[in-house]
Amino acid sequence: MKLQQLTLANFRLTEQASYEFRSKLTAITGANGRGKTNLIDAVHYLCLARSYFHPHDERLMRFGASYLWVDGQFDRAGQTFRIHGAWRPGEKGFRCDGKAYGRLSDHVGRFPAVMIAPIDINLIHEGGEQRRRLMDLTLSQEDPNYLEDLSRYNRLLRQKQAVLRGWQTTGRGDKHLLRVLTDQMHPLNLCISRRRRQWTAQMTTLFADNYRHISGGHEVPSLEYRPGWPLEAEQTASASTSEISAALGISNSHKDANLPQNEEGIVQPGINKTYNDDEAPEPIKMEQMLQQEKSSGRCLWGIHRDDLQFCLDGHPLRPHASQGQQKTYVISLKLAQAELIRQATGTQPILLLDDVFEKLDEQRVAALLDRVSAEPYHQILLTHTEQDRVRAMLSGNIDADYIAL
Amino acid sequence: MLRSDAEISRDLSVSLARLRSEMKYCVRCSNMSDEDLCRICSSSSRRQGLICVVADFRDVMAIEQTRQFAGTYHVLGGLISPMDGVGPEKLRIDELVGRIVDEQIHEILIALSATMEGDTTAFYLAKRLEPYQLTISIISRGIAIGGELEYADELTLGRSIQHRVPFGSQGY
Repeated sequence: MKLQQLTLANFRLTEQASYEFRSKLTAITGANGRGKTNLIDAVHYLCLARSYFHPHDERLMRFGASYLWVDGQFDRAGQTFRIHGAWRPGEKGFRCDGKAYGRLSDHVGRFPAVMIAPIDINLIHEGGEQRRRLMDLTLSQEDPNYLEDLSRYNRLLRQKQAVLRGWQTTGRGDKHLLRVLTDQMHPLNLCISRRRRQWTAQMTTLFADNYRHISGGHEVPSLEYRPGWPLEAEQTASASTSEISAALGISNSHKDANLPQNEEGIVQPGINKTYNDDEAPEPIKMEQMLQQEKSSGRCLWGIHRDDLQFCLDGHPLRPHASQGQQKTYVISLKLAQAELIRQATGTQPILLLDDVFEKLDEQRVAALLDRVSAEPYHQILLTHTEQDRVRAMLSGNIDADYIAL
Repeated sequence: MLRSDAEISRDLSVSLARLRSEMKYCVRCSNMSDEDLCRICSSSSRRQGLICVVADFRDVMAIEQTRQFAGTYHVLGGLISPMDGVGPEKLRIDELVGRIVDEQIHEILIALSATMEGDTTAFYLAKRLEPYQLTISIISRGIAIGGELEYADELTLGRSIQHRVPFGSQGY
């Protein structure tokens, strides 16, 4: 897949501008504050309907403007697509060849992209939310059902937290409602957790290979999934709720979640995916769990508490690794993320490299460039302050164009 | 309005005033009515042991237009959404339980929106109604009649496959 042309209006500092991308690699160069990062973030926005850097779209709009839009032409397997994304206060919409998507999530994954940026170091230094986002960004692009499940889970989580807050404030609440929300979240917990566990297993091999290539093979990196819910289905869904569950298409018990599917040749969609007993974490009683949640006023268990443990040579990465090692670790993860998306969708994501060479020694920079030029990446956009330095680093190894801002 | 006959404006203003002063909620089902008991609740031709639970009185109109339902209704007045400040106590769920006891109801049909809040409300009703020996059913979900398959969203299409029905049933 290749982005051939991009136009943006009122996106961050840019009032209006158009760019063409002809080569495999486009280096966007210029001094600080010229809008290099904004340009590749606009590509991210076009591909994924969201900025990589700003969770709220109003932050993307140029000061004083009342709307923003991005428009791009993609070539995918010889077919041309025009994507148009627009935002104004209270209204956001994306179109493909003039036809509006019913939901923004329908666009996600069709034109995949992976960003590698200096803020990715937060994956190591900040809380679990950053690491869950890494998993979600990959899995959402691989599988539309995952994004749907995650959206449903997050909405239910907000509902349950509202109930728990009320319970803590007043000392009482509706036990049926708390149980119903927990039951609704349960199959989503099972499904999302299983997908994240699979993702970690797939990533481990790919990213360790990337790390060895870029670092020169001296260190052994590892990655471990830490589920945030030591709850296995002590489910006691009543007969009547099970009937409703079946009608709504929601598996509400562990038994339901293991319905045979291959005999009929029909895969259970979305939240009805199967769950392997061997993967089950230590069980705790549902009632005991709810009691603790009522006391604390917070939802204590669930995939919203999942985390990833990053290690190098068997030690946690954060306190032990150098800045260069940490950066290599993160880049290796993100390259593996791109490869997983390619394997799942058959489309090679656009690689967006924002100021990626900072804190890497020359050997690692050369190895990284060797990696991305050797792998079948269809398109790479990178930013750097100095065009001459980029030219020297590339040294004719890769077909490149330059955009000077 | 200025170009139309003056009588139309007068009729409209009288109708609006009557709407405000005469329309009320049915004391039994909470549907819109101009009497204490709405026309559906007071009709002898409706099956009194069967209640269709809906969120809003507009849902009553939608179901009535199908002419496929001959029971009575119960309008909840919304869907459960704690984060919007709508807990079960804000809806007419206790009144529904009261009707089940008082009116010897034997079947409940849940006809709520196919949203998270609709699902939560359906689950909650099923939980609350567990102690009463009732048949609880829910309207089915799937591909819209007259709809092109290729334009159906993946979730609806996926669930339609999952909850497929034998050919020859349901009028096929």
